[in-house]
Amino acid sequence: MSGKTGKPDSPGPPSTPPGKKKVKIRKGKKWVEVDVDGEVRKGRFKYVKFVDDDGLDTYWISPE
Amino acid sequence: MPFNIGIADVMHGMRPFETNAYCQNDTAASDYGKCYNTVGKAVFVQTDTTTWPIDPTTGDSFPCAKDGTCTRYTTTAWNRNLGTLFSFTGKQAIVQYIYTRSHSVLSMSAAGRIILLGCHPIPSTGDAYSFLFPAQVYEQATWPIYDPVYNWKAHLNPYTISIGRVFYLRWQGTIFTPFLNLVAYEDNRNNIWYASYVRVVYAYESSPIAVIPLDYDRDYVQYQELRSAFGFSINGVDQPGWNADDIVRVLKELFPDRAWAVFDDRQYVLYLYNLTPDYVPDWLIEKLSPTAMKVLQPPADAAVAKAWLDLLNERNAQIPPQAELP
Repeated sequence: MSGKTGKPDSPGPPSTPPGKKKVKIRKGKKWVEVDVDGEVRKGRFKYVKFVDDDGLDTYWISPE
Repeated sequence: MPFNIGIADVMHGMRPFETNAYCQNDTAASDYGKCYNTVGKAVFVQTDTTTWPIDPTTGDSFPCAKDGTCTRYTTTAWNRNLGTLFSFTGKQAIVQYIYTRSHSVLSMSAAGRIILLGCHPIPSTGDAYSFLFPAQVYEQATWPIYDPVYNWKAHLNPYTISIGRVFYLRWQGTIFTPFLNLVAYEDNRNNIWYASYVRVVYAYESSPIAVIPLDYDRDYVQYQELRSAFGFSINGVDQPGWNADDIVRVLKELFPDRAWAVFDDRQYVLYLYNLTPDYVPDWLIEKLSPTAMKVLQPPADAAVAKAWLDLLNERNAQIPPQAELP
């Protein structure tokens, strides 16, 4: 255990339910891994759904 | 992209590419005033509201008025303003293409034709507004019609019009204007009808845009806040502003119970209010190609979101395919 935070040093269980898909999206100039809540297809584009840092339901264009 | 393209399609009492669009103007006919094969509302002008076929008790008994396919005016006019196609406060559009086709009463040699008024009145024929055409005098209202832009005659009449005249016009060029109004030249005549189809293609600089179909007179023009934040367009999409945050703020303030979207053209983010992506039509995604959609507020009432989608599709009927709700 870490003395400062009380959090386990070793990675704990994932914060998302088992089996939840993770994808890397490109935000600005960085690749960010997000937990996908769902997918939606609009026209030629596919978007992955997740809750963004601003707390909003966000649909980001899928890198796949 | 440095420029966006906007398309305004306006139909008054007819379908754009179908035949047999006409209104019965024989006062002896039982269906006098009835308009056939129409979209939107054809225009009738009849000042006398006491004689047949106007019912003095209701004041309105045109068959087309009863089934909602015409608008009746009881005053005559030289030019009648049929609405605003776009109005950009502080911004300009570049009008590039105009197609108009209007059907009117047989006795009207030119009346009922459609003109557009921006900074320059465009286009009309035979009189003051013809300076934009390569030939100032050319045939009109009879077939084959001479097309001065392409310098050829349309030998095939694609329209089977039962009665009346067809006025057809196509123009290509470049005119910078912050607004464009749709106007019909009525020649100050009484007891007339006309139906028309107009398409205008224009460009404007890439900007954050407000996606909300508004009524120009009722919803837009009187609100200084809206006019300061973004321009009006009849298609509800090509409404450029300056700052996406400002557009979101003013729409939240004025239309908290309606559905709307704001596109940030710097981040390529489409913000949705009272909407989810399910309600966003595919053609809008194809047009804007957003990197992300963010739901500012999910729809409390699905009918609000559906109303936004239906009106948007109606005003952009020229863009297939339409979205299908899940």
